[in-house]
Amino acid sequence: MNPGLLPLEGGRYDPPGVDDFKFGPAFAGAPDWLNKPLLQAVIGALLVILLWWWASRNLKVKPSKGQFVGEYIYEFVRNGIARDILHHDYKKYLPYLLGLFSFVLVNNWFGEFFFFMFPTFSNVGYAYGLAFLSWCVYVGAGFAKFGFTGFLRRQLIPEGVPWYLLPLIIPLEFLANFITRPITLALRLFANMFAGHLVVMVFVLGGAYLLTLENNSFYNVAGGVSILFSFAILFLELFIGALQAYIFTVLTAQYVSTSISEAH
Amino acid sequence: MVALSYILAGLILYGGLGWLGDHYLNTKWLLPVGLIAGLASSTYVIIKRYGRLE
Repeated sequence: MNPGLLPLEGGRYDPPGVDDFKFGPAFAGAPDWLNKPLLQAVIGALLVILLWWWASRNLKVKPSKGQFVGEYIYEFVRNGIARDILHHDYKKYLPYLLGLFSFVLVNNWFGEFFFFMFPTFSNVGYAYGLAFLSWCVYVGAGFAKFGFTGFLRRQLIPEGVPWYLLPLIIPLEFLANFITRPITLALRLFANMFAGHLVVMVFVLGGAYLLTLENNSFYNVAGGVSILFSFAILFLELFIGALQAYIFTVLTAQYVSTSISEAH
Repeated sequence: MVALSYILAGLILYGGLGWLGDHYLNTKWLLPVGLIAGLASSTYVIIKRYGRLE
């Protein structure tokens, strides 16, 4: 897929960089926007739909192995994230949180799987899109519960602030709650996936270059060790992908909880 | 994690205003004052919102 990932020939070393995250059309004749990350996002969404469709049919009282795994993930999100943070309101937001968690997880793990080998959210636009969706959910939840002015008053004016500080505080609250919050949410996911993928590329490409270098056995050994070590980094990336999916979901739940909670 | 967005917002907003002031008024002291005021007001809001003991 990515010519940069093939072993280097000709002895010139191009260090991996931002250019390795840019993709042209996915296949010949496709329009420019139909690139690999887009296909991955669509495949990821289909996989999530298939997974939960498959996991939710033929449920038995004595679960099979597959049902056990599905229920384990479901209960992890329901009990560990939704119910812990949203308490008795959790049911309304559980489908979104579960879909979000599995979608981010699948797309992050694409970075470690054959054929894909690229985490979708290391393209920042996808992270922004997902954060915007979460923003719509938590802002919409607040508006639906308290009405337009009621929600804005709750978000912009903390209790117990004297009136002469309000001109200082209100713009700050607006910026924090409506603008930097989704941006930090998106950038946290994007930067983790981007940096992880870059580290893997450095180990693999640099290792392959050193391994195939002529007349220097020390470099060759170092390259071999580097390529072996890249597998350890890939396992670390599996962990980080799961962790970031968890964090993204937890923070979304937390933001929903701050916009619908009765008292701050 | 929510505190992070407050701190960033305070620094960006009041630090940015200070920077703009410096830029247009040809002064040099508004940026540091703005940064400190932003951080202070962020901390104040965080304490007001989350600092109360249950």
